Amino acid sequence: MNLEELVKRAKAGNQEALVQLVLAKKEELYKLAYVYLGNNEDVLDAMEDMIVLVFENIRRLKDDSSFYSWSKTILVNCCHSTLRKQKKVIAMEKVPEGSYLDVFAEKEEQIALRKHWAKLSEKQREVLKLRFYLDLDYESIAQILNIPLGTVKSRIHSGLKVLQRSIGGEWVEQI
Amino acid sequence: MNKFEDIFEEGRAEIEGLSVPDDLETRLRSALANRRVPRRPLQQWKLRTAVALIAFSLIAYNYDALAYYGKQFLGYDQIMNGTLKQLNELGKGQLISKSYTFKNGFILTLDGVMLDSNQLLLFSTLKDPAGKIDQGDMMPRMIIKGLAGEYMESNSTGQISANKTEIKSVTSFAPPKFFEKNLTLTVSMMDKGTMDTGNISFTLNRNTAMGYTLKKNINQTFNIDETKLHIDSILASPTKTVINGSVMNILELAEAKLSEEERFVHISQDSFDLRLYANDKELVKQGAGMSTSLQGITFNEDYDALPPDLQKLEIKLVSLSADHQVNQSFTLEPGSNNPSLSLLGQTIEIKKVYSSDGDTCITLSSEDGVVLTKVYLLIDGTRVSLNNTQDDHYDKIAEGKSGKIIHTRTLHFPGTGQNFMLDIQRMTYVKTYNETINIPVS
Repeated sequence: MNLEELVKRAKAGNQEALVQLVLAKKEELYKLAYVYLGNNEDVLDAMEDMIVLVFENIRRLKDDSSFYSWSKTILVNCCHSTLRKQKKVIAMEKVPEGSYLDVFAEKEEQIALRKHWAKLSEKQREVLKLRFYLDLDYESIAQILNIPLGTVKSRIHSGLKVLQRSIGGEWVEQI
Repeated sequence: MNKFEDIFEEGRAEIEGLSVPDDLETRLRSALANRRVPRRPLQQWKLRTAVALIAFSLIAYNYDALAYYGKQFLGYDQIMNGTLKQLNELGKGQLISKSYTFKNGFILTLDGVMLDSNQLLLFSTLKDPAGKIDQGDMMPRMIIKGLAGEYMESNSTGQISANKTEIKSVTSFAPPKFFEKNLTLTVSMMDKGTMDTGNISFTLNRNTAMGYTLKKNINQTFNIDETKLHIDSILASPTKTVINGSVMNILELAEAKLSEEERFVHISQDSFDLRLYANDKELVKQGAGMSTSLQGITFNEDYDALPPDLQKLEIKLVSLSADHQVNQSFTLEPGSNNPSLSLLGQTIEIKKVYSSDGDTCITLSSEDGVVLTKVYLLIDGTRVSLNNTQDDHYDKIAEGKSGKIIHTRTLHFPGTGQNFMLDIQRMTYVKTYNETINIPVS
């Protein structure tokens, strides 16, 4: 069954078709969420949220062929809201001795492992991760994040500049 | 490999090494389980149009009913008489809906007013959210303040709701002067020994005022025996009909005083039975008032509103209770064998003459309304004054269709003796006249 047909069925309320659609690109979606959340449990939660939102809103999708980029945007939004919730609610067992700020630092380390990342803004980090961890091209990033292409470019550019200054190494014009 | 590439390489390696866990499929399915396709939300404009259409059709269809109830005071059915109910149904009132909340939580809402030439009616609701309205000061005092001073409430009718959360009242005030527009209702309520006073100001809409339906100077007099009863004027408005009159004008009052003839010692509102007939139908009496001032003894009698198709209007003096000269003496025997006394057409039965505790007691009975206003007892030739009257009781006696009330009492005169003579000099009694004054209707 091709993409359009599955999307049509999903629009008609067929849950199986929707599950098939998501499973067909499960790697891509899983990794995308992992870039944001950095652990298996949160990723699975975010993907659950995503599939529910997709199911409830799929009829609003006008162009069936853009199903995946649309779903990815939803998934990224789910990841953002998970991160927001984590900032507000810290499960007790996760609070280490000392300041709660350490918790976030630790989370950050899990993904970045580098203090340099801390110098980037949230938005720059997001774009850089999508570009370099997932090898997404500018256009895909713009689609997923629902922002103009120029914004993606400038965020990547400025993010790299910050990193370069932080590392102090040779600026490599590789992109 | 420089540091710069390092940063991404590590992350990229981690991501690339990831494998999707097997339970993803189960989790996705369980997340979707029990989810139903949401109903397609109507587009906003469609929804709005539909709501507008429904509202329009409902309002258009029921416009009369809405207009009908829109101007009415609701919930006052029980305390309005027939006339007020009709006027309310016609939307003759002015809606106000302003409140004052007392410190104890009671809320007084002025729902509206109704104004005509005879009175200003206030429709108000006193609410106690706690449902203990009957345990507070149920009738807040009301005064209306205007340019020309204060208007006091003249009467009020109210009813407590079954769940004791509110009292609805209709309060009557004298109509404010024609130039009054902005009025302030001052309400005060007693709570735990202190007076809580608040103001509700409102603007009288003279356009909703109903004015009067008939206003006439009558200047006619019922000339009966020694008494003159003047009917001065009539003012009929949609809410009620008021007849103004006087028993004695100031000249007559002075004349009476000079001639030492105090005919109206006992005159009161109950002294005369004045009825108003419209189209030969008696109108219900709503109240009356009487005052003595420089104008003499004046009175007003309030009746229900006049019917719309008025053709004939009559004021009828059915009876009048007045004081009359008697100057008659009757010999009485001790015991219960005395004959009835007959004087000025009235019958007084002497039930018993006896002595008790050094007093001479005379038990007598008469029709209610007959009062011996100047009476002495001659005991062995000595005149003694009445000491007091005791043991009053009233018996209803059926007499054909109507009945009468017999008043029995015992008169106590100081001293005892053998020969008694009752000297009755004056007596008040109710005399039936059935005289009519015709008021021309044009």
